[in-house]
Amino acid sequence: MTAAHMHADSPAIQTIDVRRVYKSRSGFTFGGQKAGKSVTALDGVSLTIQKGELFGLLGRNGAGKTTLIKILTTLLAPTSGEAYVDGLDVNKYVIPIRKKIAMVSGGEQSGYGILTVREQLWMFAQFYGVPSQAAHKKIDQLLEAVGLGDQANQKVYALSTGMRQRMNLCRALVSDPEILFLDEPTVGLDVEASRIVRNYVRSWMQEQRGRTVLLTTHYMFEADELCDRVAIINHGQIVAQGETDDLKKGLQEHARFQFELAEWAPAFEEELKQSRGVVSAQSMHQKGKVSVQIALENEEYITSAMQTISSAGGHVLTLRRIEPTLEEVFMRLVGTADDEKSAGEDEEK
Amino acid sequence: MAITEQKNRNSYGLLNSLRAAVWLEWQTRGNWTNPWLFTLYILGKPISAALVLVFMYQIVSGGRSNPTILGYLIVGSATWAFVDTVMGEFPRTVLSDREEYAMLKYVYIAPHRFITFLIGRATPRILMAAVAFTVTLSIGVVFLKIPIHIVSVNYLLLLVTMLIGFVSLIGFGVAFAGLALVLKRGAWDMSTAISGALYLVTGAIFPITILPGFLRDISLVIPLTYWIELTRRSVLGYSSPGMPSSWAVTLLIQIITTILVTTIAVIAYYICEHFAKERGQLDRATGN
Amino acid sequence: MEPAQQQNLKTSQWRESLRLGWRTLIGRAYPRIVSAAREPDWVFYEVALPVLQVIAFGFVYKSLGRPQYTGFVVLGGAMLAFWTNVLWSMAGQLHWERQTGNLELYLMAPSSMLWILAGMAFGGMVATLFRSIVILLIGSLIFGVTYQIVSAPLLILIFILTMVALYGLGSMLSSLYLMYNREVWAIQEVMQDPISLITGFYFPVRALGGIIGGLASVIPLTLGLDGMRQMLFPQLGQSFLPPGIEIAILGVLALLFLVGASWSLTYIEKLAKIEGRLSLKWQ
Repeated sequence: MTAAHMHADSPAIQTIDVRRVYKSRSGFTFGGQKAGKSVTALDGVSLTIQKGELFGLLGRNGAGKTTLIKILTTLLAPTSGEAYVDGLDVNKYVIPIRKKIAMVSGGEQSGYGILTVREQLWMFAQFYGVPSQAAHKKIDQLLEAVGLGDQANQKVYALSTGMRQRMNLCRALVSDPEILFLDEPTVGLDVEASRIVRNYVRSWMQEQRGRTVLLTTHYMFEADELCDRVAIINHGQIVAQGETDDLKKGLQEHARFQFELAEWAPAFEEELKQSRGVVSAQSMHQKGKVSVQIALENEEYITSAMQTISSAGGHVLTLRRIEPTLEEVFMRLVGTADDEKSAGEDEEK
Repeated sequence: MAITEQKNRNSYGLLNSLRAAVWLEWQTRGNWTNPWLFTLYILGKPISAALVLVFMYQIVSGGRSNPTILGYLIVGSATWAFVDTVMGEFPRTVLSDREEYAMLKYVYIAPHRFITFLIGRATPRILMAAVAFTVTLSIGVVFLKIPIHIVSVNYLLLLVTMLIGFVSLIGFGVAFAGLALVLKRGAWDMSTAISGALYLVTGAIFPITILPGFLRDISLVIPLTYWIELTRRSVLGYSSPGMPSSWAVTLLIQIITTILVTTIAVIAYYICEHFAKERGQLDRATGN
Repeated sequence: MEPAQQQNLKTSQWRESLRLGWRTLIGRAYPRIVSAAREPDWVFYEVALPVLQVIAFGFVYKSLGRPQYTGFVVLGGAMLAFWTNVLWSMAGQLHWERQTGNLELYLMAPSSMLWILAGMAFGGMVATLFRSIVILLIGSLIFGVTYQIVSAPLLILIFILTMVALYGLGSMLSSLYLMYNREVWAIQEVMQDPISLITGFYFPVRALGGIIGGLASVIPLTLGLDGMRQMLFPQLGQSFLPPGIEIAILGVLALLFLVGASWSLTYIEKLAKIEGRLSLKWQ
């Protein structure tokens, strides 16, 4: 397996049935040790992320996102299963993997407050063997790009949260990694700082083909905006993965549309409900306007539904398709998973 | 009615804050390991400190033993356990809550006096130091034959000087907590270092008459000097060179210097707190 | 691949790894050295006040009628600065770095953690050397300590071997401490004074007797201090072992602790990865 993974076409990240169980340490008493508890953080996670992808991993707090990132960044050993970064086994090829990766976590307080931003970045560049001159050049470029050019000689402790996180992003990129792990990178940041981080991540991806990002986030719009594909993790298991549009489509049992009418007649609703392919129709009166939401068996039936309204004397002002958001997908899947789990537990009882 | 209720609430709040601080201290710095290691933790430092002096004396005396000198050294060193254990806890609380737990700002903005919280955090240490004090003296009596006779100890004087001593310790501790607010992480060493400085001028391990004139003057205005002296006098029954011969006069000076030092310490704390706020240091984590 | 080519490849990999290590060492030493210049408040509590502690013990000898022994205390106080540095800024440092989140970034870097530790040791040693010299100078001036240097090269050799062994011990402890949580600080406190006692900071270790002195020799400062005292105060006697034997033991200790540090770091990193302790905060 390992040998097969070590070629140029190997995925950027691959996990096969990865499990991780944490065992809490026992306490001491005069009489001996107390027993510890165990928690399953990852329960058979299989994922494949191709080079050049910006992949999102979504999940609640404690779902297992950070544990997976720790395994992939060689900080934590999987209890069982296999994990590869650029085709290299995380258990065996620790140093070669570390040369290729970098990580930024949300709310990071790492580094030394007493150093300046430039010194801090230079120090980390040294840990990756970047010669000082090249490091300083890169640091200048990165700081400019994230809007911290004028903060280069500022002490780290004097930075705001947003500035610090932008500095952390520079720290991760100063070694020019191939695979970047972003663990809730915009958590706690204001709108502007978040946008700077997101925009820079995107442009960093575009600078060179093959760069890969694994992003974990709570912000669905962030994942929606940035990611090519996402996976949803719940209780240590992947409950869904794919392109965001596919996931949204997968959620929709019926095609849903909303249109506004100039005037309303009660007969419209009845006519609509009897029209071919219409599953449901519901009217709402708001601020002098009438809007109608309809659910169709298939989106092709929208033409006949519109004709029905016209025939009944209605005049359609606007028409739009209602797309489910990623948040709805998330809530539906995570909610479902939880419901199933609790149902299962009930059965067991 | 409303005023009475408010007063009740204030006193209840004070007690609550103290109680919570005591509990927190126990949870964070007491309840961390198995009881054997914890015992070693309480006793290791004071016993080692006393034994260092015993060996220094042995080197000098060529192995001959003089129970009077050893008694002087061991009682001074055992009393110092209170200073070392309790006083250092104040700056340590500030530093650990700020740098390690990142809780200082939250504790600070709670509707209580921060000093109350600090005193609460130091209280369990007094108990720990008392254990160390007793054990160190017991070792001295059993193994080194220092002249302490249980029936001839002046317990009342010991109790009174100890209680006043605790007040002065709290005073010093509060001032050093203030200093810790304006210093960086390296100030972990501050309590050890200050303790070392006081060790020099309080007659803990040698008579203050040996000190140069200006240091002797300093030692005479420090309440800890009289506390250690009265502890020695109540336990061993003899006074040290350079101290008043009357215990009552010594006690009076202890009270006066305690009031003075504690007042100055509290003022110093508030000045430091002001600077810390001005410089935004209350939630600043440092490190190198 | 030809054997010669393989050899060349190995050499270039070795060089690259050495270059990376050197850069890491300098990078990690940097904050320690610059912090001394940027926040000079350490002068107050890391030099001025320890000097007072040294003076206190000096006065004990004076009060006991042996002022000539104050040199023991002054040298002990100067070397105590290194022990404090090793204990708090080496042994406890990785634990601290884990709390702040630095440790995981260090581990994720392709350089060996040993180079990070070497950088910490080098930076700490340089900063502490200055503190130690200041303590030595002030203490010597106050008590009028006179030194009769027996052999400068031997003195320097003992000092260097002591430092290598001492910081090796600190590196070893730092990785072992990763297996502990908050009790680390208490263990440090527990260790500080008993070790001050058995290593003989303020009196010659001979006073402890052969068995305790022998056991205490596991801590490099014990023999280091004794050897240095023999090189500086030959007139006072009170030596524990002949300098040659002390140098040999210190050499063995230096080697043992360096190998031990490397081994324990690899072992603990592996174990911590399995148990999930490299980045988990315990709160």
